[in-house]
Amino acid sequence: MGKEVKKGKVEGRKFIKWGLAFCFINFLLVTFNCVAQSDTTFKYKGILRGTANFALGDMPQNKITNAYLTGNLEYYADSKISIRGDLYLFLNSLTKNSVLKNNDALYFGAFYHFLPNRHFDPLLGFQPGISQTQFIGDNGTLEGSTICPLTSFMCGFNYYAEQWFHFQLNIRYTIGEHVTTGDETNISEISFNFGLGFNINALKKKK
Amino acid sequence: MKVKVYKVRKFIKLGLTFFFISFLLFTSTLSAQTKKDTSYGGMFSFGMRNTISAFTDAQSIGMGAGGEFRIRLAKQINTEWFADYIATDIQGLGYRHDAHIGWSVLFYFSNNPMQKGKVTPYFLAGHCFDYTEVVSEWPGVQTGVRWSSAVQCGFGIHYNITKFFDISLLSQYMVHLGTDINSSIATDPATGYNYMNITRQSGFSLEGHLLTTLSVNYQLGKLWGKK
Repeated sequence: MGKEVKKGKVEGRKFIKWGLAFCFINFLLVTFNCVAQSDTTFKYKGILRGTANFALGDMPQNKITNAYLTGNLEYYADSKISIRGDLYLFLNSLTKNSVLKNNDALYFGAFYHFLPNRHFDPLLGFQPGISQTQFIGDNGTLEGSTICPLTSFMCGFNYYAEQWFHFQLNIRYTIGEHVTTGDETNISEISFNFGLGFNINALKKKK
Repeated sequence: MKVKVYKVRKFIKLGLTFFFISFLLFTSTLSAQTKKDTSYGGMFSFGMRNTISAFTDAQSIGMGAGGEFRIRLAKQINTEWFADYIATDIQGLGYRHDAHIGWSVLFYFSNNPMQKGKVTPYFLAGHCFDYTEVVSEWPGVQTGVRWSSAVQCGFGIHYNITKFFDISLLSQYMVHLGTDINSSIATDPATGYNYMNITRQSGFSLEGHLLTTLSVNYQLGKLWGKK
């Protein structure tokens, strides 16, 4: 049992290290490209963009690392403000013997874009949300799932490489608590996702 | 007992007077501005909000999430329509869920409110319907459920980052007009463990809580009047 737990921890750490290294290299590539092209402009107003990728989340209070399938849809109402919804589908915990069995979440809010109409688009956002969370209780039985209110702050960037697609990196800090008849559990989490997205200009007039 | 009833009546009288004065203030401002500020009427904005609830059962603090929209009536008068869901852990011995749906009238002190880069302070008063559920983890303690109505008033600020987008911070006190679900921490004499006891008090009660809300709102367009 002890050996299995140790093996699981080593595998989890290895996965995170490789993932972080991969993302860091991608980040450098994107940054290099965006510095090279920072003089070009890319009109934001009317952009409708979406992406689906995988996310990793760490709950420091519970020492649990989770994997999610995540997607978001965003509309640029003007060059500095966008409205965005995010969906996180819980795949599994990467931590062995995790007590967390479900943590699907839905967020909706607004983002501020610091460099309007550029290919490189650093952003900061505030998104309240809700999650459907389920834990295994102290006696080993599965508790009922509960809807938990969440607040989240997000930073990251989009890089609009071409007319139709972009790269995206997001770091989200979620604050929340699983409140139920079992043990109340802090479900605050820092999560990270990186991926490719597609965009169209919804306001573009047909010729 | 008589002293308590007297205090409650006094509180209700003061509260009603306060709301009546606020209503007169809103009405007079509204009628004074209707003719010259037609361009502001009908502005519609939509937003999301997080709320912290304090001074509820056993002094626990809860957190909630929800949404809102605003319909502006005049230059200095706005209305806010909201829905919130709040969960509160009561010292690990039970929990409370609150759901609010209601509306408020916002009165802006500034003559030129909601300008880009400016802070707009406001006074708010309104009404809501609410659902409350209080659950104890202790076996045998009955869950308390209540549907009631409430009134709220408070102060807040908008900060307009752009012409159409604002961040708002609001602090308001909400008083529930209905029977009270009282939760208290007691000790079981047999085991020595603390548990949460729930009692439902009959009659009219003025139980309430302080709500602090952070929201982001985007103005989508106008429902009536010139664009």
